[in-house]
Formats: sequence, C-alpha cells, structure tokens
Amino acid sequence: MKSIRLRLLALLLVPLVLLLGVSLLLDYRFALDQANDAYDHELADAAAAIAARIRVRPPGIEVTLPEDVIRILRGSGDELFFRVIAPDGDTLAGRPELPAMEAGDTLQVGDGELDGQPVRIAALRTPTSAGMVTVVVAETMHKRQAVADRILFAVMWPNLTFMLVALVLVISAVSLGLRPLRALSREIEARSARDLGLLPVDGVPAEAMPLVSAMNRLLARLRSASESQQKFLADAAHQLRTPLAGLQTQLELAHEEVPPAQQGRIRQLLTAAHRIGHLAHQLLALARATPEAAAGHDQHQVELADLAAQAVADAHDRALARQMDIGLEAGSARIIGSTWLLREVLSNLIDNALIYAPAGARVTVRTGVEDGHAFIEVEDDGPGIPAEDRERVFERFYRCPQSGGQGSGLGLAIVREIARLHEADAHALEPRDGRPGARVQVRFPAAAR
Amino acid sequence: MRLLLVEDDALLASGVCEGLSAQGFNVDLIDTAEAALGSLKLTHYDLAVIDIGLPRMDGLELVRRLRREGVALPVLILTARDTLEDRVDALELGADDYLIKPFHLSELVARVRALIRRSRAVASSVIVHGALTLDMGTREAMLGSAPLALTGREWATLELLLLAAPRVVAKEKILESLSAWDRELNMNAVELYVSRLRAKLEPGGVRILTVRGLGYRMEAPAR
Repeated sequence: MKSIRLRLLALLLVPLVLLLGVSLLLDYRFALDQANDAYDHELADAAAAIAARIRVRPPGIEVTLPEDVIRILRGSGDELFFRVIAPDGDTLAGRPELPAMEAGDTLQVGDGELDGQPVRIAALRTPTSAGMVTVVVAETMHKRQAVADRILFAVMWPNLTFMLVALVLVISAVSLGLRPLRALSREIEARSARDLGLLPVDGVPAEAMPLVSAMNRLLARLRSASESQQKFLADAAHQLRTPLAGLQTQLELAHEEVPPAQQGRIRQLLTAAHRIGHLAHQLLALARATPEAAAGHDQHQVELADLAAQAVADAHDRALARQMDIGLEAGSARIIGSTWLLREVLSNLIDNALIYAPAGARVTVRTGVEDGHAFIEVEDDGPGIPAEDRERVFERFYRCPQSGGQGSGLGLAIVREIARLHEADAHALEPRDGRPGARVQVRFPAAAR
Repeated sequence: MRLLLVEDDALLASGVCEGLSAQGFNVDLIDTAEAALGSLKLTHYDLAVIDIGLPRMDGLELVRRLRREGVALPVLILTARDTLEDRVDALELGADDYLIKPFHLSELVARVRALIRRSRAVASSVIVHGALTLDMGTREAMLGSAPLALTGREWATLELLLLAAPRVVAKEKILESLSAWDRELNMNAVELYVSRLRAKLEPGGVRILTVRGLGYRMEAPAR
C-alpha cells in the first residue's frame, strides 16, 4: 500500500538531509579556507626568512640556516620542510622532493603531498645577482585541520538543530495536512454497507474533492441501480401475482361447481397454484434480500416484539387450520433494520414450523435480548432437525430427506440471507426445555446503545 | 348488499365477481379508476374492492380522491405489492383494509363481511356475529332469541373483540379499555372476564379464541 504520508516525508526529508550534507561540506571548505588564510601568512613569512639568508658568493649561491632559525620556523606543532632551488634548478639546501611549483609570481601558495601526508606549500621567487632563486616551504596541515575542525564543529550544531526542527515541522505539517483525508476515511469507515447516501462535501480539501466527487457519483449510480432493481422486483411481483390471483380464484370457484368426482383434480391444481404463489413470493423475497437490492431499503429502529406479535396474529388462522397452537413469548428487543425484511424472517420461520411440525404441535415465537444480543426465534415440538442437517437446512432448495414434500426449501435460505444483511446469524438449535423439537434463532449483533 | 369491484385483470375480476355473488353480494365491475369515481358518486355502494395496480390513475389515487370528496364507504384494497410502504400508504390514504394477491376467496369474503359489519355497527350501532347480536344504542345483547345479561366490563370486552373481528385484540388493549372502570386491574382480571364471557356465549356456539401470549379473537361465525 502506498502511503501519501510516507511519500511526502520521503520527498521532503531526503532533499533536506542532502542539503544539510552539502551545507556541512561547504562549511568545512570555508573553515579550511579561513584556517589556510591565517597560516599561509606565517608560511610566507618563513619562506621570506629563508630567502633573507641567501647570499651570492661567486661562483655559487649559499644558504646559511642556523639551527635556531629553523627551530623558530618550526615554532608551531607542524613539521616544516624547505628547499632552496638555484636558477639552474639544482637544490641548494633542504628536501629535494619538494615540488618547485609552477613558475610565475613571486609568491605562490598551494596544496601538495610529502612523504605520503598532505602539506601546504609556499614558493617564493627571489631575485639575486646570480639569477632567480626559489625558496619552497612546506608545512603539515595539523594546526590548520584543528582550526577547521573547531570551526566546523561550531557550525555543525546549529545546522543539526535546524535540521531536527525542520524534521519535526515537516512530520507534523504532513500529519496536519493529511488530517482532512483521515477524517474522510473515518466517515467512510463508519458507514454501514447499505448506506448509499452521498458523502458530505463540506470541509473536504480541494485536493480530495475529485476523489469524493467520483465516489459520490459511484454511490449515486449504485443507488439508482438498487432503486431500479427494487422497482423491477415490485413490478415483477405485480406481474406474477395478479394472474396467479386470477388462477386461484377461478380454481376455487371451479372446485365448488364441478361434480364431486372431479373435485380431487381441482384440489390438486389449487395446491399447485398455492405453491407457485408461495414460491414466487419467496423468490422475490430472496432477490430483495440480496445486498444489491437491499441497499434500497430504508433502515429504521424496529421493535422485534411488535413484529412478532403481528406475525403471530397473521399466522393464527393457518395454525388453526393445521390444528396447531401458535403462541408468543415477546420480550422487548430493538434493533436497526428493515421492517419488511424482518417480517419476512418471522413469516418464513413460522411457515417452516407450520409446514414441518405435525398436527397438534405447539409453536412458540420468541423475541428478546440474551447476553446483550437481540434475537428472534421460533420453536416447535415437532420431530426437530437432525443434528447433521442443521447447517444444510439453510441452503437454498435443501429439504430434509425425512420431511414431507411440502416446503420450497427456500424459507430458511431467505432467513439466513436477511440475517446476514443485518449482520446477524441464523442457527438451528435444540428447543429450550431440552425436549424434542426444532428451534431456529436469528441472533443480532450486540446492540451499541 | 351492493359492492363495487374496481379491477382491470379480466380473469381475477370475473373470479372475484362470481365468488362474491355466490355469497349473496350484488357486485358491479368497473375496470378503470376514472369510471369508478363517477359510479361511486352516483350510486350507493356498501363497500368498494379496489385493485392498486390500475392503468392510468392507480387505486391509491382513487382512494385519495374518494376520501377528499367525502365518500365514506368502506374500501378494501387488493395489492400485488407487499412492501410495508405500500400497505402503510394504502391505510393512511383512507383504505380500511388490504389483501395481498394471491388470496383465498374465503379470505376476501371474510374481510368484506368484517368491513361491512364494522361500518353497519357504526351506522346502526348493531353488531351481529353468528347467533350473537349486540345493540350498542340500547346496550342490549341477544344470543339466539334469548336476551343475554352482560356486566359492564364483559360488555366492553366483547364489544372490543367484535369490532376488531377477525383480528386479534392484544390483552393489553383489553386491559387499557377496562381501566376506565378500575385502575387496579391486571392481566388475570382480563382472563377472568374472558372466561366468564366464554361461558355465557358457549350455548350460542359463539367462541372466543386465545392467541397464546398475545390476546384474544372471535372465531369466525359458522355459516
């Protein structure tokens, strides 16, 4: 992952460090020049002092340097070397290895090397009656180096301090500068997966605006896609249900009109029509429960106990028709969710119990809060779900082999799909009192109060 | 009793028409909302069954206009759309009940009867439920041909159940309405009144069903 923060820091800090290095190098050169300037005069003086000892005594030139003169010349900590060169190039005195330097002005100063160590060299041309005599004086660099080091040391600390201050400033400026971006990402992070509302553009920095605008365009497109899918499903429901309603009513009338011998056939047709109707409803519910379509559903604060009461009331006639006792044990449980989808959860759980439990069974719908988790569950005292099937019953079109051929096999798949949309789990469990039966529970995430 | 059915799907319309006629209703069929608006203003109907999904003006718009013009007849909405928003819209606009397609004819007939009974009760203050007749004006109850003696609390409970029938009435709601007499009442008292009522109604074959954990409802009268 590429971090703008790291990139910015690298882009700012690397040149800053390089600049510091260059600055230190320049400082060092400057310090050395200063040191050289000061000591070059002494070196030139030494050369002049030697030149003053040159006497022309035909046929030759002689240089007399008593020990004490030499000692004075070597007064400082450095080693001093010299060479006196006759006009014809012969070395009259001193170290012949010392370079004569280029011919030119009377005094020349430069850097050189002697016995493998750096030296500062001064060459003085002095005219005599026998011609131009050159005096070369060389000195090791210790004291110059010491002065340069002192100067460098003195300028390095302020430099390093500036550098550290700049470092802190750069890091905090980068952090501060990126704060609006972090705020933006927190805003996006905090959204639910189904929130397709536009991102707020207030306070978004100009640089991040294109990103936010692009995101908002994407959200708007997703929203309109989700809405058109919702509309399609609503239209599909209408297109399917109206002819089914016609078919069903006509069959019910026919059932009353035909001779008893043919009523059995009409009843079979009616059963098939009911199953088609139920299946169409479930397929639509499943399609509506997909995350893409569900993004269009509005989220509300929902009291599960109220929904459960309504669902039990709605199912009472069907339960009576199957000689079952349906009841409610409602505890208050509020969650944020889609009312329509949660009603589907309840009606599918109840249908499931009504289909698979035998006549005379007792079906109980419960809501409440357990260990901080809101839940909906439907329990029956029928044959129950074999342990090995408790996961598979949530698969689409799966039906327990021993169950009758009545259900579509979609009910619990819808329940799990809707549970997932609400970040909840759906599980098949043992009944609470430990007796035989089935209990299917949808457990919602712990409520953030 | 005269009903108006506003339905544009021919198969469903003929089925519903015949089904309701077979139950003794006099049914007129119209296939657009515009035409229905005219008929409802000209003719007196006891109830209108209106499909939401009509061409051009839809059923909800028809209900809205009827109510705006002060037409007060009971309206049962037929809808293929089962989202909560659609139901809420229908009831808020002034429909009295809704039925989601596809439905059983028997369910439609029961809803139509319940709506007519409720509107009659409001108009004539008499509720009839199987062998039971409650005259809310004179506060006299009859079971079959014999007068039925009810205490004030029994009367209130029964009236609540009959007006809501075939819907379930929550125990809390009964408790609330009885609290007008006595603030100290509790759920056990509600159960007591219901069991006394049951004993009094039993001879006439009128039954009150218990919905465990929720409340009570009248059993649909046998016909």
